[in-house]
Amino acid sequence: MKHRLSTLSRLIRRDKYLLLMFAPIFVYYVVFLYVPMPGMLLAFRDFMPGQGVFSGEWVGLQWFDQFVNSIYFWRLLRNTFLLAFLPLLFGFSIPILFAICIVEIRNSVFKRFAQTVTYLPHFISTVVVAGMIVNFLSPTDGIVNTMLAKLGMNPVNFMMEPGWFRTIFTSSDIWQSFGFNSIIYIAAIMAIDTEMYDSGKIDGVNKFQELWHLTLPSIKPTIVILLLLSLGGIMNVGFEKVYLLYNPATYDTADVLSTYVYRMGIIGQNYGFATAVGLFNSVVTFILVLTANTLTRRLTKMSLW
Amino acid sequence: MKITGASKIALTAWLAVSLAGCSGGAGTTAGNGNSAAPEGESQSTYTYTGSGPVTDQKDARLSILATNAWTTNVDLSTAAIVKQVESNAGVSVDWDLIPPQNYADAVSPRLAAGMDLPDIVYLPDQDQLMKYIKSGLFLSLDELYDKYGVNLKKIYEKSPAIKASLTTPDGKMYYVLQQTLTRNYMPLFMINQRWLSKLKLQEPTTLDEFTEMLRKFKSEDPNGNGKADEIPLSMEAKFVPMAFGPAFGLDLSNNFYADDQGKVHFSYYEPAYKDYLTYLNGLYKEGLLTVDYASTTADQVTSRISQDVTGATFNFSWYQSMVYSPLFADYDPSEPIFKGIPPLKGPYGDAFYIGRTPVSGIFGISKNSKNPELAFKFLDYGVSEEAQTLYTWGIKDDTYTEQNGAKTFTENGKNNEYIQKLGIGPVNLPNIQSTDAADATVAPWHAKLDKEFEQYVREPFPFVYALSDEASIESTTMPDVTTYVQEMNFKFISGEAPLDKFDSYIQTLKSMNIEQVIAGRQAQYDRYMAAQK
Amino acid sequence: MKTSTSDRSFYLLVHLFTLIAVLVTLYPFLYVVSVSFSSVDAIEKQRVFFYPVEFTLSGYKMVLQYRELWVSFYNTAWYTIVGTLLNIVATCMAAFPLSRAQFFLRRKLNFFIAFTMYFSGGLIPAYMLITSLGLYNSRWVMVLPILVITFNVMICRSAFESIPNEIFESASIDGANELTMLYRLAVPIIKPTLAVLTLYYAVYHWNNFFTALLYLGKQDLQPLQMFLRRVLIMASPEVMQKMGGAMTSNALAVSSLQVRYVSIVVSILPIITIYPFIQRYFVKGITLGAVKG
Repeated sequence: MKHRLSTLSRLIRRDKYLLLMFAPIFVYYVVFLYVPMPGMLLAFRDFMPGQGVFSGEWVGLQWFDQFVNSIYFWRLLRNTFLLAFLPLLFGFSIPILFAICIVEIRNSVFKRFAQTVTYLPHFISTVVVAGMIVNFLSPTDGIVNTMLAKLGMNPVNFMMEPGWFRTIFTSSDIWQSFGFNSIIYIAAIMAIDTEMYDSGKIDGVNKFQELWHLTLPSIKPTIVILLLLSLGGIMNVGFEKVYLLYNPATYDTADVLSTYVYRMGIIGQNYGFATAVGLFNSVVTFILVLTANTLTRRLTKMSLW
Repeated sequence: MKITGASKIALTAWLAVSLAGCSGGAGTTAGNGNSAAPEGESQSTYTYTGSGPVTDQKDARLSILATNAWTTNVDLSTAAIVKQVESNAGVSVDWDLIPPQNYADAVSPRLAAGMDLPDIVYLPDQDQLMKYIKSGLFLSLDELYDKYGVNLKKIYEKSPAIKASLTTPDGKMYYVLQQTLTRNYMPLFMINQRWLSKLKLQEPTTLDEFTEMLRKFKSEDPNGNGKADEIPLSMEAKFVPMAFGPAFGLDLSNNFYADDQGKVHFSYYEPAYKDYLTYLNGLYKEGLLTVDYASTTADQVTSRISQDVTGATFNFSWYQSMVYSPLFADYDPSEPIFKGIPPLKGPYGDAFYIGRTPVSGIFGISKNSKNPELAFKFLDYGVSEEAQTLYTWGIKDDTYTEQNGAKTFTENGKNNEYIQKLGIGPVNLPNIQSTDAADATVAPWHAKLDKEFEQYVREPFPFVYALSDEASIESTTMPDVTTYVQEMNFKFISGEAPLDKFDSYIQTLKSMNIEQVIAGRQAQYDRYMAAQK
Repeated sequence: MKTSTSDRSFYLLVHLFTLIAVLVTLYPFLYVVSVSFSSVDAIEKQRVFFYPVEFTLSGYKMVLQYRELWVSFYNTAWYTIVGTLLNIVATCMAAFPLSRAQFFLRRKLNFFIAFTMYFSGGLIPAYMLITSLGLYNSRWVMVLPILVITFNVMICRSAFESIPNEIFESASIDGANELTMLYRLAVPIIKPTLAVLTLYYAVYHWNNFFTALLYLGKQDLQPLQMFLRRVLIMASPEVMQKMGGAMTSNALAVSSLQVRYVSIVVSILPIITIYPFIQRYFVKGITLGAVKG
């Protein structure tokens, strides 16, 4: 015991500056993030407004029951997962490819122009993007269908076909984010030591080989960390975008957990239910990330914690 | 790891303490405007007669949480009309005004947290499930009503139905209301008069005539440009059920309705609903109901009318004279281009438009208020005729003049920007929308039309509080029911699901427990009718 | 220097890909800008495609005249600058200890902060906390509750970890303590990463409206995004009905497509001009390297 104590105080003394540095942030996390955590208990209660977090009768797993027994449970789960996963799957590589391209462009005017233009979509709010999509895809007077007609094809009712929803959602997501997301890769690539490239050139390496053998491995750590971090968003499909783009015709592929909870809320704000769904989400995501992280740690010795 | 252990304990202790402090919001003091208000208003001997002032206290103050104006650039806390109401009442108000678009999102968590609430709160919803009432956040108003509700009593005498709506099953009242128009300027069908006269057609009076008209719109080039680019009917997706339901005797936009015998029905569960679906499916197949009818937005409708490619639509009555007709460059304000028509008669002889319930918003007095009597009197004054005149007409001799009891707007009064800044029709006070002011604003032909159409408007299902069991059955059943109903609605109309599957659709609804929900609504309706006696 | 055929095809691909990316992202923005300068009539008749039709500044005049716009601009600028400054300082202070391999609480604290990325108490407890801390209607509510974003802390930590330890070892031999190491050595070395994080935080603050929606009732404190939303979501039929008919035509004028797009352009302009300044920090330095397990 005494030995433990003295080891501890030795460690504290040794790392005292580090502890000092972290201390204010520690307080921040405790106050703003950990203190409210018992609110998760609302998932098991029938919340009464104004009575505090421990109010309302204990209903145990009632909300979870209601949620899981809904005939739409599996569909909601599936849609939420797909609408979060597909953009990740298809959209993860594009920022990287784009970053590589940008770095290789010699003409600095074109380079700057390309960068600025491609990260603009990130700033156009969802409401506007959704409005534009609905406009462009309209079967009666939208641009896309007008062009299809000119090519002799029949108009496609994009917004009302469940089959198209995922494509529309995923593509608009990628379109909006790839430019902005490429920034961190650009920074990473530009930070690579040029010595490596110089010796590569001496060895007669061509551009493709350079890319594959030098550039990509050097930014592998960035890629891995960002991939792991992105997994954290796997169950959080942005409510607003789906809400603005869906309608009963596309519920089959478009209805997600957040929109369902929202419609429930219109019938009678049930914070208990909403918290329960949120908790369910968190647990699933956490398990996913835990698994991914452990796998990554085994394979590459990199990890989130 | 002793220190970490100790810090863990400290953490838990802090957690417990802070949350104990947080819960039971009664611990914290109410709003910030109350410091000057002396206690014991009831000790005053001042008699409130229904018109201002409401008190003889020198520095009476109240704090109110409500919505700000919908118009950008207008701040109701400093608007002249609002200030006038305050000074008439003799009360100075600390306004906490939130933009109305975000009101529900911003205020619901605040009420849920229940801390630091001001004297008066405008509720983010109408509390039909009585959550806020049951949580005790708001005071019951019965005593105050008996003592001070001079103006409120007048209103309830005129409309006992409103009183019935706002009385809970155990006979208490908790809220003072904001009223909206119930039968005037309701959504209706609007038709392009020029197209009608070009094709030499009469205004359709029955559903079949309407369909025929749509066919002619599509094939006979009413906009005269030689192209078959007409879209006969164009409306926002959500109006479709409201537009065509009544022709089949159904109120599809409010889900439930009561028939003449007082029996409550769920519109989407009725046999007549099948006829509705068959009709719309027919329109869809013929191309008279556009392929994207379920995703059409308001912008698209306006755009199409502006390009003169659409001939019929359905929307709030305002639109005909305030938006759609003016879209045409040669619009003459005395002659409508887009004009409303009487409701279409359906196969069983039904022809009506759906109205609204009178209650559009409610104010509650929070339990923390140090001055509930003052608060109530202020609200009561807020519904008085004196106050209503201010809300509707503005400031005398500035925005309106009165001669022999008839009021007319002045130049200032007709200047929309000017009266907005003044705070006309303030949403942060218990205002009652009046038809007079509306009539004075729209084109004369429109006001006249509106009076003619009043007779066609049918009352929707009334606002009634739900009991706990009724509430819980609805909240567990309806989300899935609504999702299913909406999906099947689209599938039937587009033909994706053949109409002979209708019976199995009904069976599914039955198995989802819809009949229990209907029974709950029936009980509510019965209580409502009983409370009016 | 001669470029081989394969190198030429590489450059061709690169330029082609970039060109496509630019066109695809450029067009919608071009559309938004064109609409913002076109007449309302042209917009409603759907005549605008690549360039303004019936050029007009009426939308801009209308939007720029709102006092609210300028006040909210100022607010957003305040929140962004103050917020980002605090963010960067706090992020470094959090990430540096976590990056030191021998720090005895490293593993535990890493988990401590990572956990919060997945679990939270929810809206109501957060609301109660903020209110009881007296932050309702205070400027600091836009800055304090978001002192750091864990995601960014991890990126920063990653960057610190890739600094070769020899640098710190020799510094410590010279008598430096960790504070000096952080301030004099580590921060300058990871400037590129800090530049990216500054951008991330700045953009976050610039776009943040939910916090304001919940906790800032006072008009004068509201950020740009709140003002934007008021303009964007204004005209729906129910709203018009509620306001009374007099509002209708005015409301429609105010929230026409034209004005909405003007608001977009106006609100984007400042933030996109930051990027060129950030870019100069992307100079060569130490790699954004490996995270030791």
